[in-house]
Order: sequence, then C-alpha cells, then structure tokens
Amino acid sequence: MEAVHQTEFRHRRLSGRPLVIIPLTMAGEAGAPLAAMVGTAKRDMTLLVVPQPRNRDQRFTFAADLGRIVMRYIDSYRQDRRGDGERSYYSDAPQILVPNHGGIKALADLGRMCRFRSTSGPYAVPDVVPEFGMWLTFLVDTAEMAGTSMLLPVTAMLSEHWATGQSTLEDQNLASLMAWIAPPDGLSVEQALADAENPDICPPAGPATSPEFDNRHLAPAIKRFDAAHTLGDPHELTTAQAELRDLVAEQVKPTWRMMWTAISLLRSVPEAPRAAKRFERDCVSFTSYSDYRDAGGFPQRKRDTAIGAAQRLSRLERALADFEADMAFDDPFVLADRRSAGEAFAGTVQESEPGRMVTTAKNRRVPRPYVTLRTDDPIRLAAGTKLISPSMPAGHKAVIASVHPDGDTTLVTVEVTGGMGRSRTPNSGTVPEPGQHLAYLPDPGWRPTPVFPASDHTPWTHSPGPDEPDTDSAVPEDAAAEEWGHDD
Amino acid sequence: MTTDDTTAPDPAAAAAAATSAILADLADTRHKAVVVDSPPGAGKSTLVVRAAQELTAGGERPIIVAQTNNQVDDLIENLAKKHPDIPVGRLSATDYSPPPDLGGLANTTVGRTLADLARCRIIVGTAAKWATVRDSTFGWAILDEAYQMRSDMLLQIVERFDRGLFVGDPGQLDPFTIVGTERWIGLPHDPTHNGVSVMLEHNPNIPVHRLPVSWRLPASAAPTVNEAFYPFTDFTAGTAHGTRALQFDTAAFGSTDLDETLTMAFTTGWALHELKRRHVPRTDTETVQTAADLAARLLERGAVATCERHRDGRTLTARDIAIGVAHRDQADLVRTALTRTGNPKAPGVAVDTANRLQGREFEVVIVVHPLSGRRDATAFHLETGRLCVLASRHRQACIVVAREGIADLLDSHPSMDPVHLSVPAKFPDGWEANQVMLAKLAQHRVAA
Repeated sequence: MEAVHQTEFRHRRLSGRPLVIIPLTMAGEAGAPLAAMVGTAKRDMTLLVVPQPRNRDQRFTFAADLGRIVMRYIDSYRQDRRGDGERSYYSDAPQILVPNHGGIKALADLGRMCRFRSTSGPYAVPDVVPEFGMWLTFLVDTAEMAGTSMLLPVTAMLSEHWATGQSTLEDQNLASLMAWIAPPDGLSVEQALADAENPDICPPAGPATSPEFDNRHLAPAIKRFDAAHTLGDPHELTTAQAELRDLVAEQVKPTWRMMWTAISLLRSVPEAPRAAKRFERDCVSFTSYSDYRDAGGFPQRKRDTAIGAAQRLSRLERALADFEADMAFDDPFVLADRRSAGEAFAGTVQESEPGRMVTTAKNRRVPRPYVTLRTDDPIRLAAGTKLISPSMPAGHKAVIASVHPDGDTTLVTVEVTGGMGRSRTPNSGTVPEPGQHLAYLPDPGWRPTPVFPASDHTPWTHSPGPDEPDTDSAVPEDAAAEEWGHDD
Repeated sequence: MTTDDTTAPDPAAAAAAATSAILADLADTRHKAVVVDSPPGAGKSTLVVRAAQELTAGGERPIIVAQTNNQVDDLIENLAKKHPDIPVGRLSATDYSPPPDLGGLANTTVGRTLADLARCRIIVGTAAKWATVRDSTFGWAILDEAYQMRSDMLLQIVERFDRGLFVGDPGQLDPFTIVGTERWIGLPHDPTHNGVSVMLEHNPNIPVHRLPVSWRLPASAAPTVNEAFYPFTDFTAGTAHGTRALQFDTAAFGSTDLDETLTMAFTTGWALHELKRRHVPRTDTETVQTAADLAARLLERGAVATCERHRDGRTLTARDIAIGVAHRDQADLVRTALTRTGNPKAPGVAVDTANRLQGREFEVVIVVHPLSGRRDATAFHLETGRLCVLASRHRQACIVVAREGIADLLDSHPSMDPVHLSVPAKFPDGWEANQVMLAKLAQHRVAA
C-alpha cells in the first residue's frame, strides 16, 4: 500500500524561492483570519496571530503585517525586465504555495476584505492593506486558470503526480496525502494514515482548526486575552498574547514542516518540458498587473459584469483545453489515460502515401500525404479531427481522413497537413514511415478570441432596461453594514 | 406569461391559435423579443419557418441562428421546400461542405461572408459563425434551440439584431461548462446559463408563449412527459389514442422476456425491462447487451407502424430505432453489442448519449436508465433534462432498460444540491421528475 506515480512529470513550475503561507481562520465567523505562518524557507518563518479575531482593528493590523511580508516578496520579482518597450516583461514571477484549496479560499476572503479599504478618513488602514488585497485578489483570480503557477495548493500538486488509494476529497488532506506518498521513517503507510487522522498528532492544515483545539485551548486563551485587554494590565496582556502565539504555533508547525517536505518531494520530480512556456505566460500576466498597479489601477470589482464574466469564462475554458493538451503532449502517462478514453490513439504505420499532392483553394499544389495506422485503442475521434503528435518533429499536424474498425483493431487514415517544410516534397522525417510507432491527440489549436460588445455597451439582453431598477443598486450598498468593532 | 387558449378540443386548432398569437406579437413593435417555449416535437421548426416567411413578407430581412451545422442544414432544407420563392443564404465556415441534399436546392446560396449573400432574404448560420460577423445589423433574428445557447454566446451575437424571436425547449439539457463557475452563481448574467433565462431576467416584460401540442409524442406518452418534466405548462398529444399503433410482422417463436417487453411496449407505448437488482458499473455488460438485444429482436420479428403519416402501416427499419444512454462509453459498448447480436441490420440502429439525441426523433426508443445499477444518485444522473431528452424522442413507444432498485436509490439520495442566494429554484427537480417517470414505468414493468 503506497502512492504510485500517475504522471511522468511535474506539470507545475516550482519556483526556486516559493513563499509558503498557511492561513488559519476562526470558526463561526466568515472571513475572520486567526493566524498565518509565512516564509520562503523552512527555517525562516514568521507567525502572525490575531489575538481577538472578532476585533476588526486587530484584523487589519494582521493584514498589514502579512501584507508587508507578501509585498516585499512580490516586489522582489519586480526587478529584471526582459525585452524592451511595451512588450518587455519581468523575467521571473512570484509563487505562493498554500496547503490546500481551502487556503486559496481563505486568501480570497482576505483579499476581498482588504482591497476596498480606505487609507484615509475614518477607520483608515495602512497603505499596504489595499495594495495587498488587490494583489491577493489578482493571485486568486489567476489560480482559477488552469496551468498557472503563481498561487497553488500543494495537495493539488501532489495528487496530480501521485495516485493514492483515497478519494479526491481525502486527498485534500495534506497529512494523509503525505502519509501515502512518504510515510515518516519507521512507519508503514497504515500507521502514518492513522496518525494523519489524529488531530493531536497532525493538526489540520487549515484554514479551519480542529474543533477540539478550539474548545479546549483556543476559546479559553482568547477569553483570557479579552479579560486582560479589558483590565488594561500590560503584563497580563503580554502573557495572554504569548500564550495564544504558543498555542497557534503548536497547531501550524507540523503543517509547516510537512509543506517543506512536500516541496522537496515535488522538486525531485522532473518538470514537464512545456511548463516553461506556461511560466512565460505567468510572467507576462504578472507584469501586466504590476504595470496596472504602478499606474494606480482600481481594485478588482466585487462582481463580474456581464461582459467581463463572459470574457473570463472564455479565457478559463481556453486555458483548460490548452493545459490538458499540453499535459498529454508532454507526458506518456497522461496520454495513455486519454488513449484509454478514446480521446487519443497510438499505433503502427501500416502504409503511407508520401507523394500525395492536392490543389488548395488558392490553386497551389501542396503535399498532403496519407498515412494509415493500425491501433488497438478504443478510438472515438471522428473524421475531420485535427491532430498533433508528440512522436513527430515539432509543427507536425494532421487531420483524420477516415476511421475503419478492422476486427479488434482500428485502421485510422490521417492526412498530414503541416510540419513538412515549404518545398513541394516533404522534408525527410516529417512524414511517418511504415513500421513507425506514433501517437496522435486532438489539437486544441488556435481559436479566435471571442469578440464581445464594448464593456460600456452592455446590450439589452444582459442589462436591465432604462426603466427597470438595476439589480445591483436594488440592494443598498450598506445592506450588510455592521458595527466596526471598536471595543475600547 | 401570455396565456394561449388551449381549451379547444382540436389540437390543430389550438396549435394554430398559438401560432397566430406568436405572429401577432412579432408584428407588435413594442417587444424587443418574443420567447416561444416548445415541448418535445411541438412543431418548433415549422414555427421557425413560418415566422421567417412572415417576417420576409413584411419586408424584413431576418437572420436565423441555430446551434449546430446539422440544425442549419435541416432548417435550410425546410425553408427551401416550403418557400421555394424566397432566396435563402447559408453563412458557413471555410471548411464547411454542404450535404448532397442541399446542393440541389436552387434558391439556396452558400457563402463565407455576408457580402456573398447580399441577394438573400433570409440568412441562416450557426451561432459560432454569426459571432464572427461584424458591423451588420438586421431587424430580426430567429434563435432556434435558444435554450441550448449559452448566455456568453448570445452576448457575442446580440449586436447583430434589433429584435429576437427565441424558440426552444426549456425541458432539455442545459448548456454546461467544465470549468469551475462558483464565482458567477447568483448573478443575473451568469455566462454559463442559457441565453433565454438571462435575457428574461433582464427584460421581465417579454411575452412568453408556448406551443400547446406535441406532434411527436403519442397519446400514451404526452401526459406522463408533461407531468414529469413540464409540470406547470400543459400540452397535449397531437394524435388521439389509437391513431398510432405497432404490430408484429411475425408471431414469436418460443417466448422470451424480450418478446414480453416488446409486446408491452407495442400495446401500451411504454415498457420497463427490469433486470435483477445489482450494483454494477455503468459499463455493465448485461444491461448494455439487453438494450442491444431488444433492438435486434424488434428488427428480427419485424414491426409495422401505423400513424397519421402512414395510415396503411410501414415496416420499421433500423433507422427508426434509437438507443439512448447517459455516457459515451456506454454508447460505444452498445454499438459493439449490436454487432454481436448477429443481426445484419442491427448496426444501423442509432446509439447516442442524451446530449447528442437532443432534437432528434425516432419511432421506437430504447433507453438505458441513467440510474440503473448505481450506488448513488449524482446531480449528473438526476438531471431532469437528461431523462426528459431520453423519454421524449419517440413517436410510438419507449422501452426503458434498468436494474431493479432505482426507487430505493432515489429514496436514499434525496436531492441535496447546495442552495444559493438569488438563484431561482429549478423546476421540476430531477429527483421528483424521476419519481414520476418511475411511477409510470412501474405500471409497464416486465421482470427479466
């Protein structure tokens, strides 16, 4: 019983200096941060604790402290630009790692809480708070996009590479996932799993803390802090604060250590070839947001507009299709998975017709060789599907001409349409030869970016008419307003 | 919602009244849009053709937006046959080659750009193709299968027309996306919703009509489909009991459970072929083979179908039969199972998933129940649209193949999807629709 590889590569970039954040939140109060452990090395961590998470002043002190650390880290990547003029971009990008998807959600809530705060007037917050909020929101937004690497949950990176015997849901528990992959010395996977399920040995990786810890330790400690705060006794206050810090530190430290073990495990897996190309796109998007912030751009809106949402959906779908194709192209394990579902195939070339020429619509004679493969795969692709091949030189493109079942196997004839050079005879090695074994998968290909109406011209189908109340303004902005929580 | 009078006993008269009410609203310039909800087989295409002709007669140059190339081809064929005097244009992509039937139509032009189609009075194209058109605006657009079009697609084409006629079946499968969409839940303009609901959400005064008669569904099926999937809008079957009938060509030689099921389906219009209770993967050989065997047995014995189109009866061929499943791998297995039956005609039976059967029509449909043999009832398998599509493709009879125990499965898995603010509850709920269908099928049960 142990975890097994399900990919040959790690398809996510792992930065040489990732910033690990373990956010903890308080139960029963939506979006109330309790603590965060943050740092760029196993031995260099900072623990930030909110002694009374219900107190909003303390929350924003926490946000400012965490914001300073994160912004110092992000700013360290806003140094070297590659290329010149408008098209230049930063040559490196930050990478924040959290334990699980819940961690991303906690950062999203924190970003939302911070990005609209005013730095002047009543209840002003330090300058870094809204800046931090906007950057967090940017990172959380990119994390929704498949294939990006600026904010990633470590459990997702691990379970992409290792298959365990647990359900997807159980795989989101860092401790039990690590128990499958690399049980501590001297323990079997079963023993390590039993430990992973015991919150006294392996406290939850957050953002929620163990309810037993909350009841037994956290609640009394917060009460003592409150009492000291009311009395205004500085000595008592320091003691209560130190006690809380120790309590929380005890809860996060095991996760912190496990995070760095997981990171070094992930480092031992070779990175997929195409991850570099995706990382370049991360750098470009990092640069463009950084320039937007430098120009004093607005915080991200609370809700997407109709046009913004449609644009975002098209980008998300595009990114997912590209990422899935990239993975299958790079990784024989992923390709095998697609093949077993009939979405890709591999076979041996039976015959080829390398000299076949056709006349294009522009009246040019071009080579369009036919190649027939025999495959055992349960192919489910129809004629007309455009293909790419990881086993042929770069640029190779083909289209399925016909699919004929032949006994238990299938004969697939493809027409080679690209990657043969510019001359009238294909360059050598660009047309598969009889006996050659090769794989094909569908080309996610180029698609025009959908064009939506201009963002200030939302059409009548997607916006309330002039005489209809605006759905947004129908709910007054301060509907959810509450007392600020000054308690002195 | 506009009430179209359906109390008239004659379905033809009711349908005509509904159509004229729709056309009257089209002529009324106050409305930006008109919505027509159509139950399965209620003459949607006929309405689209009729509306296009009326608009053209009124001096308009309407465009028609369909969702797939097949739908566009069907529409053009209908238009050209009904109105050979109106020049019709087909806007299509560079790599599109028209099917042979379409090449012979004299009044049809195929073009890549609007400039190629300058002389056409009606221009038809897929939504994806219309999305590439810029800088032209037409007075009217007819959006066919509008409930299958995502709201982000509508957003790309909406500037091409001033007013729209949205025609579609609200009971079928909703459009979907495979990316996570939590961030838009509850927004009135959620881009993953269908275009019609988003448009109605922002324009509450749009008239909504519905077609009152299903010409496809037989009298035996219309009330059940109505109750299960369209509980708030009544429709009736276009034909009376007895107009449609199935008879065997041959007597059964020996007696098998397959014959018993077929007889049940032939006499009552429904049959539930119930296999032994067992938890099985969805690729369960027995279930898949039974569905294929039923089709093969039907072809082997030969069946004559009588209906309003063929009053003297017509022998059913493999093309009149379909097998509907929930997953693509099941479809593959059923196709293999059909060849394994040894009947040379069996591979001609159409086998597809609910998504791909949408909009199609057959005489007899064999359905592998989405919940058959499952341990749990997931949202996918409970989805109302999926069962609705499968149970409403037939003109004569519908045979459901399932493992025993679906009722217990439903009882132990009440629908428990999370409830979100500002998201209207979707009716009917899949769980309830499944219960109604099961209750009906229980009366037509044949134990295998």
